[in-house]
Amino acid sequence: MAEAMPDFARLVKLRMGRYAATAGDDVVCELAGHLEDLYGELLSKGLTPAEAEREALAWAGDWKRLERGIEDAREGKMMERMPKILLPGAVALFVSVWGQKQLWRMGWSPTMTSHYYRGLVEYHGWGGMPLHWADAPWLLVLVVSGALGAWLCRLMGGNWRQRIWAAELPTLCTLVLLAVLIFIGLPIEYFHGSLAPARELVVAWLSFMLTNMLLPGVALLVGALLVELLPTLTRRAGGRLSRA
Amino acid sequence: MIDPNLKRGSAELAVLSVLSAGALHGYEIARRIKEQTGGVLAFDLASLYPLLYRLEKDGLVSAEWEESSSGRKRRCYQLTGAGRARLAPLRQQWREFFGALDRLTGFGQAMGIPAPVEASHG
Repeated sequence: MAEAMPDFARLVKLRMGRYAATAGDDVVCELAGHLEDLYGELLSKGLTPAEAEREALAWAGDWKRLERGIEDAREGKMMERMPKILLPGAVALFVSVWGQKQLWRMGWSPTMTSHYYRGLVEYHGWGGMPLHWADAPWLLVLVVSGALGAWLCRLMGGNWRQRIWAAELPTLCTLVLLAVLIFIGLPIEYFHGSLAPARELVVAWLSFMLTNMLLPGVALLVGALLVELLPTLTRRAGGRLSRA
Repeated sequence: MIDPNLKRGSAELAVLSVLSAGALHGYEIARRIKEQTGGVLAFDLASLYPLLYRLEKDGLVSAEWEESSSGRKRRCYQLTGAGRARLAPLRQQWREFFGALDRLTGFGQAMGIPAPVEASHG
């Protein structure tokens, strides 16, 4: 009895993970076709179907290397791809900083840090806004910034990974700033004799990371995801309207 | 350790050379290279397809989907004019490279391999 051919298209998609969608159906179909041919050759050499499938998939090589190779071949090397990330990312950064400045002008200053590493956040609220909502306007600015960065990156032909990087550039800048503060500030404090106890430092850094990196990072990501999801949602809504 | 640029150049030469005989799909390209080099050169997916896509992007090969009688779709690659133009100097470079190595090491003579013929530059 003839054995059914394994579904190599599915197996390729499984191994390529999310990159399969970026690479496109053509690439998946081509790679799967290659594996089908190889599978047939291995069967004709006397391997069992299970062995032939295993051999064919093992022969395929390193899937991560394949993914990187295809990305490099189609979109150029990392340095050639950087403008697709850096230019939209710079716009996202500019809008986020500009937006924050506008909020400050409007009297928004919910977070006060007394010291760069003892920066436990003091909430003052804003315009009668409940305390825990005080960061909401800023986070909203970041959602817009992230969406703008991701959208511009898409216009420049960036893939989904590059769109996420572009949207998250403001967070990466904050990370660099934190690293600079730590590597420059700590030795100064140490030699000055005013270094805080380790536990206090860790708490301060964690709170800094939460309020200045994690929350903003999530807000920027939400913006990027909106750019990913909006076309789909719009299409669906359009489809429903036309059916109605 | 072989220089990655040298390895990449040799892979490009291998693919372009095989395609100079006519249009082939990826599996057939890999099979012929393996067969014609006695298994010394073997391409897996991760080394063959990025190279094919790069060659296509550089305009050295073109690709078209074809459907076999069994209904299976395959993407066939063939050399473009630019690819043919690239192949001749590439062959010459490698001939010179192996000639130089041979003169340096005497490896070809020791193995009974005939010395490469220097092509004249018209």
